[in-house]
Amino acid sequence: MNLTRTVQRYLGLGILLTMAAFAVVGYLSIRRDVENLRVISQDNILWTATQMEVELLRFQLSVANLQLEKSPEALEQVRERFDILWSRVFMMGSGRVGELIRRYDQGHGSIPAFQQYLEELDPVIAAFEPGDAAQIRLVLRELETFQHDLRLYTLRVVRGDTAASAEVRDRIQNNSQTTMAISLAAVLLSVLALALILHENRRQRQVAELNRRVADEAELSSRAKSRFLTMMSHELRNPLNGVLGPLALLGQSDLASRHQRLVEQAQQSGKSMVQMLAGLFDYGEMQDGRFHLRVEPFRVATLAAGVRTDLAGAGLDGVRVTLRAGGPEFVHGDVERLRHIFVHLTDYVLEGSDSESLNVVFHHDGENLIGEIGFAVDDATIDWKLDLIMGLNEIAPDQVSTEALRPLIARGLISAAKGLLSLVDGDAGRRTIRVSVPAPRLRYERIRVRLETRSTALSAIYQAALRSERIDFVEPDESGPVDMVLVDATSIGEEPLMARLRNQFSDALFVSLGAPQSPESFDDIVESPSDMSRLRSRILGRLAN
Amino acid sequence: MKHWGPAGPSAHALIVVTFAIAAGFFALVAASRPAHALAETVLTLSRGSDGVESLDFTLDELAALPQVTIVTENEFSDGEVVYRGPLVRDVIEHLALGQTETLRFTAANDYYVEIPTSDFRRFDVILALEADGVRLSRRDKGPIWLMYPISDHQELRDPLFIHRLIWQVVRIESL
Repeated sequence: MNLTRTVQRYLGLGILLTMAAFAVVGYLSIRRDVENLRVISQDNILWTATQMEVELLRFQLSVANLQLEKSPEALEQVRERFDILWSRVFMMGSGRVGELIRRYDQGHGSIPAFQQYLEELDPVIAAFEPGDAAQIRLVLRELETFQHDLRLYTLRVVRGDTAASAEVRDRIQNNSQTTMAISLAAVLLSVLALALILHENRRQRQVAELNRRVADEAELSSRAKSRFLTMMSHELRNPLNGVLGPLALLGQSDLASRHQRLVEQAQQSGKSMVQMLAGLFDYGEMQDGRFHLRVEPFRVATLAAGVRTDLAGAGLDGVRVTLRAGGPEFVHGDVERLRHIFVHLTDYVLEGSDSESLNVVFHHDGENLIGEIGFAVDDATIDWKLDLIMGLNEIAPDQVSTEALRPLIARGLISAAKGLLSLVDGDAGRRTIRVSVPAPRLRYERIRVRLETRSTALSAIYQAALRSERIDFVEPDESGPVDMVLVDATSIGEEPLMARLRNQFSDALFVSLGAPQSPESFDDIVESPSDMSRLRSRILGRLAN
Repeated sequence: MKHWGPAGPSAHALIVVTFAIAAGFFALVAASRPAHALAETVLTLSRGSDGVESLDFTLDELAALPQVTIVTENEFSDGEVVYRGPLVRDVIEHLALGQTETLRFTAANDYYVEIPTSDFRRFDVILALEADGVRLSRRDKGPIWLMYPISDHQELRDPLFIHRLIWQVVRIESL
């Protein structure tokens, strides 16, 4: 295949160069024709040659006229004609035209002989008298002897010009034939090139179609695997919870200390497995393209406590998890996934290591929540593990090390949360894994919500379900600012009422509960108003922006 | 051609007298002919198909117009020659011939060429009266030779323009 493409490429280049060469040859051929025409036009001295003969005749006529009229005017005419004849005959040898005249007279000497005669005649003409009949007759007789030579000269020029014209005509004809042949060859090559291009185009389209099918099949296969992974982790979680529940009950009963330790061990392993299954479930959704973060306000201390609890549950209670002072109490993000990220990473770093040297610190830089897992480097294998965490030794997704499942899930979650993972070298042989995830601090501590509905029952249900320490419902007759207006689209939402509400609460966010009559009147629409958890998430999202 | 000259044996005194008379005669001729030549009409401009409007120029009158020098080669001379004379467009303006489309230039031997007046607007075409500082005689394509600045413009090397270098010009007329 590669050989065919190389041959085609060189063939195309060759055709291009050949056509360029043809174009150059054609252009030169046309230029040569033009030059030939110019030269033949310049070399044509027939007019100049015949002028000598014509002017000789006119001079003879003027002399004959002098013989008849014998007047000073006739004599002046003779002298004028003599000068004109002189100017024609003495052109020879001067300039290109003179050179051509000389060439046609080569080997004959007609023109030099005539020039010599005119030079001898010059003083005679100057001394001419109108009544000098004998001298005039003598001049007329002598002039006749040159008529014949000039006639022959003119004939030589005529024949020479004709031969030169024929030669140029032949040259132009040959050039025309060459140009025609070149044009024909160029047309044939163009057709050949076009055929090759069409053939190549068809082949490329076939290859593209094949590639598309392979890609589709690979995509389908990947989706099927992801779905299988998701289903499997979901199915495993339920029976595992069935194991963990009885284990918890068993742990509360009066057991011998040896049995109690076994139960605790089983519980630790079970919790670890639940966490791993949750990670696998998320990973499957990420691969499948169905993964969504559950973003809502949370207390940073809650995250730290969750990480601490999970690590302790996994037997890693030596890890110190702390908050750096000065950060916000509440931020906005997916607290559950953040907890998984830090537990997976910490657990992986600590496998087979001393938990006493490890600490996790959370802080906030104004925009991002940052968690730093610091540890002492006392094991040569840590570099290899860190490379796995950073994904440096992965060649392709299907070549992930079997050891790297936890880092892989953590990296996937960090990426989904648009965060950054980095490794920082610290002092005294310590290193830090730094995770930075966008988590804006809350603008409002509480949100004031006004509910617009004609249904008293619906109002009571919403308020009961949504009211919390951060959500206040504003009564219809209550004054003060409103951050969000929830509008029951099934019983209200007409254009005039919306305009009035918009005017009244110009800074508020308008959310439609259900499909509204005029969607352009709303900033957000909650399609399923009965999904209270999603609605709460939407309302709390308002706290951050 | 020896029979043309005033030949024959004679005394020394006779020869001296003869030479003296001849010298006086030729001096008279030499003195009178240029004056006569300068005074006579060398170029006629005419306008209209019947030539009702015309204007004659003597050599002095042409020489009195602003003179332009061009240095150029041509097909009839060896190497570059310095030509000098009035611009054609200046001369023909005396009879407003520049407004016509084409002019006919006629030579002393009745040869003529027809030249579009655009040539005189595009190029500095002159009626050359001198070549290399010497007044052009009738025997040397004078007294008026239409000259294009060929060396200054590549397009003027075309045979079309070479055929327009008419010499011994005696008449310029509108068509």
